[in-house]
Amino acid sequence: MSPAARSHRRQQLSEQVAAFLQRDTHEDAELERLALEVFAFQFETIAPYHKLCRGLGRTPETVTSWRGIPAVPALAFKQYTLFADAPDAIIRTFRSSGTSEPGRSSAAHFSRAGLELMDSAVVAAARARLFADGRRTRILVLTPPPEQVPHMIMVHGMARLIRAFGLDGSRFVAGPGGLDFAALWTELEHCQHAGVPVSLLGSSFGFVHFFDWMTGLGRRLALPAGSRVMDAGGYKGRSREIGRDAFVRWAAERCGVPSTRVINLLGMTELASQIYDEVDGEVDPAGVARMKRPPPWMRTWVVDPRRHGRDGAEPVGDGELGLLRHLDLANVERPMVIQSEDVGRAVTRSTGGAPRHGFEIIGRAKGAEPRGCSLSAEDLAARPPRHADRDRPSAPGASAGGAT
Amino acid sequence: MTPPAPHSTPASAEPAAPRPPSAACWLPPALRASIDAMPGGSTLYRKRYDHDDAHLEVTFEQLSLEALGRVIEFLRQRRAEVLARRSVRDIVAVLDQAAARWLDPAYPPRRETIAEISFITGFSPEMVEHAIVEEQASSQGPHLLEALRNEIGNPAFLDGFQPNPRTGGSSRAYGPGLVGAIFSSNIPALPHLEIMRSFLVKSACLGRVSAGEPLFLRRYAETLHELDPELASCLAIIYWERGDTERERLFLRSIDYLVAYGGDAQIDRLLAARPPTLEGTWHGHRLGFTYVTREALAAGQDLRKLARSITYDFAIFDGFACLCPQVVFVEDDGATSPRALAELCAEEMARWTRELPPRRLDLADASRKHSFAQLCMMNDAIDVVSAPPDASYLVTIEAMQRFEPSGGDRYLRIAPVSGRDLERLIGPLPRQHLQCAAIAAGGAAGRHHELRELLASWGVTRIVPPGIMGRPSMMWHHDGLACLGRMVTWCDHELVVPELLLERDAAALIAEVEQDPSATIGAALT
Repeated sequence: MSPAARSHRRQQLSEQVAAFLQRDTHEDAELERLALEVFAFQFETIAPYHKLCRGLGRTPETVTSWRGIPAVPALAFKQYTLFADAPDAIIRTFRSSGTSEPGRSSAAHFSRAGLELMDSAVVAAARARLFADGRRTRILVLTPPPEQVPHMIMVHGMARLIRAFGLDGSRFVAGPGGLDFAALWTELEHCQHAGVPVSLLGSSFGFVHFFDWMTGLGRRLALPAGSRVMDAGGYKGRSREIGRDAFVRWAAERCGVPSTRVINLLGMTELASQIYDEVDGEVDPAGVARMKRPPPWMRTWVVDPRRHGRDGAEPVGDGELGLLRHLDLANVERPMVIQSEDVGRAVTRSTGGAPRHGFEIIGRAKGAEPRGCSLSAEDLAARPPRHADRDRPSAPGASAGGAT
Repeated sequence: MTPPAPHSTPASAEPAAPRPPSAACWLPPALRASIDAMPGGSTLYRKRYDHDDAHLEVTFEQLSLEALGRVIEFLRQRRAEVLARRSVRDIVAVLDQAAARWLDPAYPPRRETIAEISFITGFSPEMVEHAIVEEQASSQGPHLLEALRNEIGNPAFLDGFQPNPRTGGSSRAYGPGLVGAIFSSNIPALPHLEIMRSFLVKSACLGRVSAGEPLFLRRYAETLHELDPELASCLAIIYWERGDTERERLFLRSIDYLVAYGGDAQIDRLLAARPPTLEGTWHGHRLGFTYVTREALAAGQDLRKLARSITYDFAIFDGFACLCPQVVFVEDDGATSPRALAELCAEEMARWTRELPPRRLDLADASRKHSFAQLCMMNDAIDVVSAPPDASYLVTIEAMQRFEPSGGDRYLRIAPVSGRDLERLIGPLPRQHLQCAAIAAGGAAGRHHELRELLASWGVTRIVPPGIMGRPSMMWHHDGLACLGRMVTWCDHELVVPELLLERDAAALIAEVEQDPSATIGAALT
């Protein structure tokens, strides 16, 4: 494919997917057709992905359904440049952590069209789930603004939410020095008295710190009707970990919002789209009956790499534990199917109508302890500086045999 | 040499439920009774080993400090009463019988032990059984005596004064009173080696079992007890939790010799915690590799057999032992290319998967193994020769910029080399980390010897042909050390002045003085 044809095709597919996002109904067959087209494009244009597909023996000639499209391990975003066009088409790169050192953080590259597509996906998913009631709220985000953390994809997305759904006064409330709890409290109290509904958005660990502060001072809010809380990103070791149900109860109690208005968002740097909780308030107001339900342009399925069939790792049955695998049509220019290390299970709910498919996250597939005593490359003291082999995957466990 | 086929019998990996939990610790019955009589002397608790929906419980025991003190006192006393009075040959005979029991497929505890160790470690039952057979085969009496001869000379030095012509007199050797051993879990059913080494030098043995493989030691102790309760009473298998510095300190303060297996950090910590005068032997991080010269790839060489042997070293213990190679260096200017050898190796890895099945993978392991293989596939610099869908093994070819461990788990990495690559890759590695190297040099003795000199000078402590890397003999100077030799201290009865030793026939002189000790002075002054 010539460079010009490649760019043209990328634009074209991005437009098709953007159109699909905006539809009211989303046919499975249409998703499959688009997914296979995007796959064929990515097979041609993302060199490491091409090599992976060849290695797995699954190419556009042999793959006939979206389930068979080879997944890229999320780790690959740390080690390879996975972008379906020339580097000069990249206008933004998001990273999974603050460091820009290769091999340490995942990098997701976006072209202008790719960024626009992601923005559409962010808004469409929020409209369907987080702001399904159509209510305008003051959106307060417990993170620094995008200018201060330009590499953070979550912050970029939240900026889009402010623009699309926020009342005047919506803003990022943290600065370079962190979050000023007292100032946030004052603002929330003001909203409470003025009857302005608030959407409090932030990282899960940020909420833990803020709620801890509130709890320490014996404070709680009774936010106006229509207020909500959305956390994302997990704890990342930056606060203590809190079980999902406990978090929901705590947030509902501290903010004075119904537990059905405490929503978690699953986002990954490797994905342009996000997956919200779907809360079935009728069934269980305590929030137990919640599952993650991908938007219509995504598919999430649960696989067990130990069982393999024609399409690679086989899906497990409802309720069985496995690893989450995501297909995101909005990843036109980055690999569309991502194999995560999140452990979860598929869930089907059929309250009030047709069965709906979702999943829940149980935890991370934590790297098992290296066996015996192990020697990592880092243990080998006398060594020349790393350079030529920088792109080499580190071995599973990256460890050598132990003492015998 | 072609490695042996693994022994049959795969016992089921899933232990039948429910049954009383197995115990990790073992004390001789008399000691057990005494500890049980101490209020709060022993607290039993269980650890649970989970795999998918099945689990196995193992009982561990925390001894009070007072009880641990009693154990130590008891073992010292038994050493004086039992070990000091028995001959080396007598002790060797019991150890030989123990090996015979474990080598007998019909030995009742064997089947259950295999199933339990397999469940806990994840190693396949076939692998655990293979390990037991390998370890016990080299634990037979003649091997033990030969190991003593190799490191001490005459085993009877440990029984009493024996003529020692080199000193012009007689010598006698003593092992430490109490050997304290801290074990690791990466090779199933290996830790009994240190019990044998202790008993061979007539030392009592106090072992701290590893929670990663907590069962074989207790089973082995029971075997010794069945065969010879008196000898077994010189042994105790205990446990304390990692981080329990109180018990660890008492242990380190009370033993006369420390044998420790573990990671570098663990060993460093132990060494820092031990009393400065406590001697010992420690086996930390080690690594090995295989080197194939162009001569081994020449026309007419049996490449299938070579591949079979190379891959055995990567399959045994699933590559998790320090005895397993991390990489195969292949000279790239032979008649056979590294790629052709890699393809043969892939076929043989598949065969070992059937014959000596790999460990069970939990979801996280499987995720990591699959991801790793896929990351390799994505890499331009890596040629993935074989990555089967079940991730049971992985064969790649990739140039090596600097030496790096592969992580085992049946990942066979071939690195083409030429010229002075070996010097560049291995030469700079810390000596203490180097252990085994397999050399395949065809019939080229000159190359073989040249490589051997190089590797030895860099710190490699064991050089073998491919296919026996995971099967060291008792005679190997384990990690370059005379493990038995360094445990003993000597008393030399010298009869003559040194210059006389060189002039006269020492044996005759000794005989003369033995007949008439009063001649000692005369001989000394002559």
